[in-house]
Amino acid sequence: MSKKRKHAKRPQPGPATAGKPAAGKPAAGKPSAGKPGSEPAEPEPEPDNARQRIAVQLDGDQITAKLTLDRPARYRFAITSPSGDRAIESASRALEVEPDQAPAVQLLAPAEPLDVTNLRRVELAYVIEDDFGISAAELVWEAGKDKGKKAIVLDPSHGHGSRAQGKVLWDIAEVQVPSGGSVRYWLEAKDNNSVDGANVGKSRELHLKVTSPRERHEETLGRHQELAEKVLKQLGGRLTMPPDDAAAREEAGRALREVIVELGSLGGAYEKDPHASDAMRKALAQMRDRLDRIATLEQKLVPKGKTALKGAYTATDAKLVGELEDDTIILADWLDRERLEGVMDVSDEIAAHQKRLADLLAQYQQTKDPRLLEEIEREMKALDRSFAELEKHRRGMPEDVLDQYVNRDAVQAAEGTSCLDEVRRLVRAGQLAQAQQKLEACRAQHDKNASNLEGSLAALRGDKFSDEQRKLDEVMNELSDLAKDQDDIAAEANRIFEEYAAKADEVAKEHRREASKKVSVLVDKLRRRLKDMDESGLTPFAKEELDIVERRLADVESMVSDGDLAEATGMARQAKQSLDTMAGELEAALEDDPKSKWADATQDALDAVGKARPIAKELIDELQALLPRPEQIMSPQDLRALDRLRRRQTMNRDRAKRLSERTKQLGGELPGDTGAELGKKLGGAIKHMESSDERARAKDPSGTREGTRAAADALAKARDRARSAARQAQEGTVADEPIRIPGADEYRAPERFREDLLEAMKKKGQQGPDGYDDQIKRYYEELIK
Amino acid sequence: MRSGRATGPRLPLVLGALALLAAAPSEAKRDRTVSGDVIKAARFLQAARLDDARLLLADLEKRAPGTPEVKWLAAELAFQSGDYAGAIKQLENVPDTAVDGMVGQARKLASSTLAVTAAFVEAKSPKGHFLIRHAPGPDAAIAGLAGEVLDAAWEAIGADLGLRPADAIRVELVGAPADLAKLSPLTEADIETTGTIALSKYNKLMVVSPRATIFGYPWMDTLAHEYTHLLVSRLSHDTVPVWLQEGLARFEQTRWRTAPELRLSATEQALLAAALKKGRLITFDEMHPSMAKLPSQDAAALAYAEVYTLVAWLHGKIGYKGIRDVLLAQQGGKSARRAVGEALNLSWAFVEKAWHTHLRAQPAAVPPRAGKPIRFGKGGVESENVGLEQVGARARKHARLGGMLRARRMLEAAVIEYEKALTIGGPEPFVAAKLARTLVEIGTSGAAPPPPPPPAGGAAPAAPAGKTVIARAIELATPLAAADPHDAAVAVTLGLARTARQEWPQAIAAFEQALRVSPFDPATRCGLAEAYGKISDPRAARERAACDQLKH
Repeated sequence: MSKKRKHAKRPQPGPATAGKPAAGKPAAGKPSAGKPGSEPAEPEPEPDNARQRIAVQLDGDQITAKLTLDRPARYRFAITSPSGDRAIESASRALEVEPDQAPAVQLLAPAEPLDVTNLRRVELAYVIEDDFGISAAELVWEAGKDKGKKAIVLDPSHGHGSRAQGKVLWDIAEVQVPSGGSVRYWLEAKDNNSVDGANVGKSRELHLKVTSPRERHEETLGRHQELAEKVLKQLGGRLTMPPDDAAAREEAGRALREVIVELGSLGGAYEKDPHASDAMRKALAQMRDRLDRIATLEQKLVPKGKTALKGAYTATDAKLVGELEDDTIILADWLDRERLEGVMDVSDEIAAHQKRLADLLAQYQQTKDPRLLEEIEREMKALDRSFAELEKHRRGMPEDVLDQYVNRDAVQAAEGTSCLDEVRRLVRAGQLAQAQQKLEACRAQHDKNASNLEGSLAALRGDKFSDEQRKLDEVMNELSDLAKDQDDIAAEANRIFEEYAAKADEVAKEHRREASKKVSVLVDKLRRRLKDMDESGLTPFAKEELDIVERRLADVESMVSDGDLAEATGMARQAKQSLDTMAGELEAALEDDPKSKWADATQDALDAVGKARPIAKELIDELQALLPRPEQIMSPQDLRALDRLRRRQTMNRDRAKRLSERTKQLGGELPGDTGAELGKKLGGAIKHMESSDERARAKDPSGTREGTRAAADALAKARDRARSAARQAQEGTVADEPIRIPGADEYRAPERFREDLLEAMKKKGQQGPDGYDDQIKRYYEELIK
Repeated sequence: MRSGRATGPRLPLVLGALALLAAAPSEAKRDRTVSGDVIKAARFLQAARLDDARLLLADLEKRAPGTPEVKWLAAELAFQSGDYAGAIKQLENVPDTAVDGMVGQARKLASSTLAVTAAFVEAKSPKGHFLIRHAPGPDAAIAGLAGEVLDAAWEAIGADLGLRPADAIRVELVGAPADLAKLSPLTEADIETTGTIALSKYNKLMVVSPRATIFGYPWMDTLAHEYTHLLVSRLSHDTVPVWLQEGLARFEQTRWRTAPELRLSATEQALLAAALKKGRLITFDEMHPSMAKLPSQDAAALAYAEVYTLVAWLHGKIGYKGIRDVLLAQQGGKSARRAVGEALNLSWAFVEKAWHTHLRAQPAAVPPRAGKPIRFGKGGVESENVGLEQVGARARKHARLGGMLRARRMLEAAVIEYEKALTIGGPEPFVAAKLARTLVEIGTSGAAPPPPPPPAGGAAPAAPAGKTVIARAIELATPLAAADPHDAAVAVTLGLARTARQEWPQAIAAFEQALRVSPFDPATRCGLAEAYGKISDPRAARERAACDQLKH
């Protein structure tokens, strides 16, 4: 800071406030002549070349003078008595100045650099400190030619005039940057220097890279298209090339080599692409090998410098043309399929945004929180973008594919947009209930269209990838049968349980009070464990399960107070089951990416789940102990029915195992990720089946019911997931939650920040003007506090 | 025929209102005379008797002014007279629920119709019998032609059926199936599924422009078909059942250009022959209430073929005089079966028997070509392979490659692939047509034809050289154009090939065949302009203007 401002704030030597013309109230000292206070005193700042006379105000024994300084000065009081006598202090007093610093700005992001998918929001945290006051702050970013700013509303409840701390949600959709594009961003804060202009403090620059796996996939598809064009061109050239034209052959050979190289590079690009299927990667790799072999053969047929005999290339040419014909079709088929799958990905995004919008509208109806309206607007904008994207995808598809496979209703972006416009109109008119109703209609229409699209894709696969589709149909049919049987088993288990529960209720009523007491201790304990859990380490799926646990615990309490111990036991089991699922999910997340930036938080969450599980088990045991033993109160018929049910469950479990085996065997022969995903989901269902078998063996109708139901639900989920996995649909493409800074809620200016300040303090101390060291030290100490 | 008159309940609004008036008390209901006249006026509107409805309504407006029923009738009349804004105005301050919800339906239809047609321009047909309304822009290229066709139909069909309307008939040319859905009770999906592309309803003709389709459709005959529906409705006071309506419209649809004739396609002949053999003809009752409700496109095609042959047979027996009598008898309240029986002096059972005997006596059908549905453009990237699924599995790969190469102007290579497809798959009309067009493009481009010796590709038959390219194109396209007069692409190919040989009359015949299906293909209009010019036909100017418009 080169320029210094000074205020006559205190008569004592000391630093004056920078840039803010402040009033000083010096206690009147004894002037060398005249009576103090008889007439307005006038401080006389030094030096002489800048001498000013400033009238002061007298207020009792206080004198107030206002002046602005931009350098050190000296002053004296000159007093004029009512009689007109004038007296002036003989010795002048010093006014020191304190340099007005630009605000110190600290910006924190979830990671640096940060990879973020588009359409997400990022939570940023800031701390702004200024020596005298902050007037404004804004987030600034640059992404290529795009520059933007976002004003930050400083929260007065977090900090005071010279300190601001808070969080800001940054919607990445505001940044006009393509997938893969980089963004530099920082925070700028202005102080309240109104004398010679606000000082601007800037945080260090942070960086993020906007990535969208889907967009990246589409970029790769663009390369795929270019390659397909080259292969077709190669085919066209080879078909019409005179066999003995050596120059043309050389040129064609060179172009073919290029194609082979690009095939390798394309395969590389698809390697880590979650939207690309293994079958496609394999097809491209095989194509590359085949072409490479033929190209090498062609090259070796006639040694360099020698002339080819007539007909020397006939056999190779026929082979190469046949190969190029097949490759052209393979590349085109995959492109058609991938493009249609791309349309479905966008359709998934629309469905996710619609769901989120519906949730937000419901929340707003309940809470009337005006902040939700911003969220609602944001979702509607996101939907606008998604519909535009859908339209773009439709226009990018070949007309013959649209004509043959895609029903007119399946890709109706205009219809979706107009439906959304109506929702928007109703929201803005405050007609929330009607908006919700309309949105439901839009969702139903979209679901119908999406289902049509699924049909279109199945038809395309059936036509062009018939073997894959046939195998998928086989597996899906078997899965449907399995799920239907499991539903029947679950229904029968429910019936048996209801019979038992009615009888158990009668018996348990006597123990209600005792049960309530014992159970509430355990429920409270479990709740405390859950409350302590670091939610930032949970995956979205684990969060869902956590919600289930919390709901089930509430159910346990309510059922115990109703005396329904059997049902309460069932609820406790479900809570335990969800905790087990969370543990599995978190372990898998850690295994998948042990170096994730969330890994520590996830490990903490996993530990917390580990601590909660024994309590849940204890809760179940306690409830069971309170219940009469089922075999004591169940009728002989129901006991026999439970045994029959167990046998049915065993048979269905064996079928599920066989299907799982079959799925594993088929593996890559099934489209997309079906094999892997179905294997995982079936594994979960089988576990539930085993647990219900075990519970039935133990004559536990409640556990049997939970197990059979959980298995049925798992199979239903498996069916849904298998369908979308067949097209590499990624789960959770549109997340509701912003990307948060781990532990941001407990954020304090970090140690490093304080260290930086101390370091700066030392430097400032070294460089500060003579005589100001103490003041500067005090300033920084204050700041560090 | 991919067109239809009003399907299902023709005027649900009117019928609904009648039901209401019979059931619910209202201002009009309290006055029994007014109530009766409201029903009567509604019936007039339903029976396409607009003049009668107008007179009665004028009286009703004096006796029961401002009642919802009278306002609704006035709105209906304004709507059917083409005054959509007036219809909406009539319903101002009348709640949607009035007249059992008919007001809401009428307002919705009038509003959506107004939204689609508000910017339309209109042109009278050359003889002033029709008012052609269409959006400004490309449809202007066919508005004049539509007028000419309809004026010719006015003369010919008017003479046949005995009615030449004095009022100018409104024709609305819409740009997309979605617009037809807005103008009618049909949904977009209905239109695509059933192939319904035109309607005669609300005292007007509504036709989707051929530019909304990929390959066109026989739009000129469709206009005449719809116009026939309108005449039959007016003549019979809308009492003629679906089967006879469709039979008459089908029989009359070519009358603007030819003498009365029965010309079944090969597919229709095959369908009829198979149904007769198995005794599975579609009954007339099954055709009610709409052909579009039949279970499959084949069933609908069979039904159309049946009624077409019935009317042609009837015409052969009783001539147009007899047909006019049949219509008048129905106007007088007789059923269609009774009216036909009386005209033939036979019981209906004998009529059916005699007709079946006649059908069995028809010559054996030639092997059919698969029927081609109307294909609406879906806005994707242009492709040469739309319709490829018609090609047999064995030849499909090479046919597809041919299309891909052709799309990238690698014509010689495309020829080789198409030839391979024909060699492997036998006579595939889709492939033959594409090959013919590719050959014409090579032959007329001035580029050197593919070399005669086998190319590097090996086994493929080499493309013919020099002038033989055009000869081969004609050889391929001629039978295709004869077998399917609705295949515009083949007709254009033939036109271009004949033009290359300066065989102007043959070129004109081929281009005119294409024009009847695909009038937005610049090749058709420019080809016709040139050919007409060569024989000093005055239509050359019209075609030149259309050619210039479509090219730019």
